Amino acid sequence: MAEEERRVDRPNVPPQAILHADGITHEVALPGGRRLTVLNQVQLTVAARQTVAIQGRSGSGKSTLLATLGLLTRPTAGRVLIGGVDATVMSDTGRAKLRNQSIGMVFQSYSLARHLNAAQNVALPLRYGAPVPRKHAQQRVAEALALVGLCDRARSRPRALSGGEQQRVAIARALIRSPKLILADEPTGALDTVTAGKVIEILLDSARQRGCAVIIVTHDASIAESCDRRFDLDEGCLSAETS
Amino acid sequence: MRNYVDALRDLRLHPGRSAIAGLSLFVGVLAIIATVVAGTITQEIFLAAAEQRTAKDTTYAQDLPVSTINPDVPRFLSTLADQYNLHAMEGAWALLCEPSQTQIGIQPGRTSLQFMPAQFTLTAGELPRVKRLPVVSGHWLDDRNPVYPIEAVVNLEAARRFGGVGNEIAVLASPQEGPLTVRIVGVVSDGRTAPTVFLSLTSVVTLRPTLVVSGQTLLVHGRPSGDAAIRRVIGSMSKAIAPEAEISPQRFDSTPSITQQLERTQLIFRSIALVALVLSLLGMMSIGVATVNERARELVVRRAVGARRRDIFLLVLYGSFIIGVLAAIAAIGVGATVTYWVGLNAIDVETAIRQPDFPWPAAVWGAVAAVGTTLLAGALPALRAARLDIATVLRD
Repeated sequence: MAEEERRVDRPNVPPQAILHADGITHEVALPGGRRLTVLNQVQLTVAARQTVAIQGRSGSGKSTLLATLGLLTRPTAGRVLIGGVDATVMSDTGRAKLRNQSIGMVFQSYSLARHLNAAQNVALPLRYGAPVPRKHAQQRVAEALALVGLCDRARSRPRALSGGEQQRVAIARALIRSPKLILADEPTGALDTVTAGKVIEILLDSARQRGCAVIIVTHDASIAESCDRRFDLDEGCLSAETS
Repeated sequence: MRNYVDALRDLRLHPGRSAIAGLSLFVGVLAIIATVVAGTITQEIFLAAAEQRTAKDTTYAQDLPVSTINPDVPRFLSTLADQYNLHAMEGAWALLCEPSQTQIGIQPGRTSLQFMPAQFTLTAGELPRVKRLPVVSGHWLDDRNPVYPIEAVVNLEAARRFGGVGNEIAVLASPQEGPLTVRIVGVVSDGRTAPTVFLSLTSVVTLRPTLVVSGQTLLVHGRPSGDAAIRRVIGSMSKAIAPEAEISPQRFDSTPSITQQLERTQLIFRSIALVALVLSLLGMMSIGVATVNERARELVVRRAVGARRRDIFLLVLYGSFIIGVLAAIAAIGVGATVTYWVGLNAIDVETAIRQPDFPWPAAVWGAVAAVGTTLLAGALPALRAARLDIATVLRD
């Protein structure tokens, strides 16, 4: 089925919405046949260029929410629409393609391939999905590294980079396909305060320049304050938006 | 192609593990080549000895009575040749006459009267084509015409004691007769440790018929698949020269029993190679699984940025495949080099053992086994990698 055909009628969803999570519930099986509800009827809509912060205690379901929104796991119930396309009914291959084209991800522990240099790590999303000509790919990698201020570290391996630099490489990797949405899971969790501030500044500036929406899961109140919208996640339930 | 490039790059991730996996497969493939080469050389050593002692593969013998030999030897040799040609069979024939009093004396040069015991064989036909008798120097006897002094071919031991090509020696068959002077025209390797002299039957019958006192054996060698044809040929040849002889040709060479014994040995060698290959498979598999476990985070990040399960499966499998191909190339290279070296240095040119050819079929099978092993060994880790749960791994 073509992606266009998967578009659904969404009377309550703003037309410019990049992401629409509709009643997402995620349950996990526990020993003894019990079930734990990690996410409970989560409702979230994010428009283009918006920045959203999600805060919550450890174990509140933040990472699960981000994994569900990033199409890394399927919800038990509910739908996730990316750019109007219902991803919950898509095959694994279709979801991989959608992830590649529309979603950029930044993880707390950078998650760079240690045997690849910075440029090769940034280029990783270009290895999959729609092929990009080599010259064009090199140009895009150079642009993405320039955006995060790492032009001169393109050939450095992760072990030769500081924590902040590694996270900037991860941000460049998330931006390389010019996605509609960037999901960042505690991107500054492993960084000191000063570096964390710089990294968040780079992430938000880069996203704004590229016109991406950003959802950041964070413990850091100052980071949350730098976002347009803020939510709390408590025992799987997303609270009302806080200002 | 993109996957191969990625897989090649990934080998750098764990160079030590890649090397161990490759080495383990290298040993497995080399074991296959080595067992085949060792088997071939062993077979050749045993066969060479047997073909020197008795005759080449598929040789039948017919004993002929003493009365067959008479002064008209050239005529009946010609009859034998005609009969043989009539059958137009690929192979060779030879007539052997080994006198019962084999302890004769040979005077080295003409200055000494000291004689040493030696064995002599009178022969006609193409004995070096029937038995494995590589000519080390000089040439084999020409028995078409009698010549004086009689030409002789000696074995290596006789050449060591009495001199080589060009030397003249005196043969004393019995004290009642004077010594017979013969000239050495060739040296052969016959595998015997006793000195042996080969003389042309035609020349001896013509120039010293008293030397011919025993019966003869007619040997016919042919294609391994042509037993019935050889028996027919030997029957008609025997009938033509000795009508009164009872025709019952017997298999003369010992190849079948040796081959049977060697096949058992080869089976043991091949079983060892198979075990080595299975061990490499298990080794590679466990290394592959350990590597996937260690790379889990990187692999799921690839999934997170858009790789399909299939891409991850192929990435891991190609990694194994490349190791397999490199190991196979290295094993075949080393196998070929060692085989060449063994041929050049380990086999004495004076023995009847032929230099081993590189066993290309074994190399091909080794390569196929290597690729098959790597694909099998890589499949489990590749499946495991493709099935990794992204969210779980990222959370851990």
